[in-house]
Amino acid sequence: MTVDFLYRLIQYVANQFQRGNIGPARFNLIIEQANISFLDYLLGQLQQYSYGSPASRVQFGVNETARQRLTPLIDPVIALTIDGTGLAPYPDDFQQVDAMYAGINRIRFVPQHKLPSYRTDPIDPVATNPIYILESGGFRFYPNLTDDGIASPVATLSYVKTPPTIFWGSTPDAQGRPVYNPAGSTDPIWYPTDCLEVASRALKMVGVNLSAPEISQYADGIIKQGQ
Amino acid sequence: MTRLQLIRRILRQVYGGMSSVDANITDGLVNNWLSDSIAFAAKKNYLENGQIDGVNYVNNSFYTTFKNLAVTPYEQFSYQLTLPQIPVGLGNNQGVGTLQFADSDGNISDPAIPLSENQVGYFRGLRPIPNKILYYSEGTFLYALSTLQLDQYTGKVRMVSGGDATDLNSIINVPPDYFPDITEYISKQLSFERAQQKTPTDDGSDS
Repeated sequence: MTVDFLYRLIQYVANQFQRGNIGPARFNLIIEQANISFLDYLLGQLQQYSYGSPASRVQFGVNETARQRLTPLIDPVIALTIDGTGLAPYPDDFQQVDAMYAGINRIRFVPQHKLPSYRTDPIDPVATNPIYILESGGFRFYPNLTDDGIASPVATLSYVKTPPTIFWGSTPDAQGRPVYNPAGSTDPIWYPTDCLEVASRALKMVGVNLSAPEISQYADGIIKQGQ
Repeated sequence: MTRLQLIRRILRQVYGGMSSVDANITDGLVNNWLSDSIAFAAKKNYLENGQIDGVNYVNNSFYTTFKNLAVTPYEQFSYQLTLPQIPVGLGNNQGVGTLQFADSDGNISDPAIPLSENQVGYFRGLRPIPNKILYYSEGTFLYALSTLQLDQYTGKVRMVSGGDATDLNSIINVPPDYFPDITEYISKQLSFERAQQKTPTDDGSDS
């Protein structure tokens, strides 16, 4: 689905309710917010966590359907470059870990406050059962040369990347009106069914912006009950 | 059945399917419990055989032979061997079935004579038995008593054991009719672990 279709759809809904025109700059602003909002929804929203059950109603990996929707953002595994201290920087477009491997074996994520317990565990020693923690600079692996005197594993990472920014590009016509320019535009990366989810989120913002409860309700209906 | 097959079978039961990548209950942890459960099964076998046959013994299927155990001089006329694990505490000497010595040419001695706990002191007052080797176990060590020079040989021990606990691909040495007991024992322990309330905080609470 092209970004032009989304633009025309949102224009249509906004005009249908006689609430005005959405300019390209405003559209690009709200569609990108909707883009990120939908990603957040698929990854699992923290607000939906309940005590003792840190999981959302819809969450990455909850089933094949939820995962399938994110697959446009999951490339084949990449090899990480790990330094002597066990640190491997995040990929530039990193969003969330899907899985971390050492060969065909897993590398487990460990919460920071349990790190000493894991590093001294005699049942699953880190030398043969590598682990990682998350830091601002990237992944920190154990064992590593600095702390354990053992080289870190050759780690490969599968991750969810940041979706490309959706952009409706245009060139002005003779009267200065913007005309859709596919070459200067970036289409949404989502599957067509999910593009409507993004559009719904954008419409909700349009409704708020135009103080149009009809648009907000329409968008809410789509988000909560489906198309 | 290999250790890993049994471990994964138990894990599927505990997690209600394939365990997740960040599962707390690892292969290593189940393998650790496996040693307990094998001893538990051997004890059950020992007791059940007593009820059926009138004689308590552990079935052959529970035994594993470990070869090439180093023999080191310990005290005068006594030598020490390190066992792969502490023998189960069944009967007088059911944990370690036989001890033999082998030379580099593959010649194997007759089995040594086991001493029970009180015989270890008792035999000191007896005349040495010519050309016979006596032994007893203490924890993970086995002590062979002989006037022969034994440290030029290696030990060969047959003992109750589930096999090689360090190799998950090794066959588990337990008769299949005792797998249900093993599974039930471990599942109970692991389900207990899973049922504990977890506090996912690092604010000093005891979690």
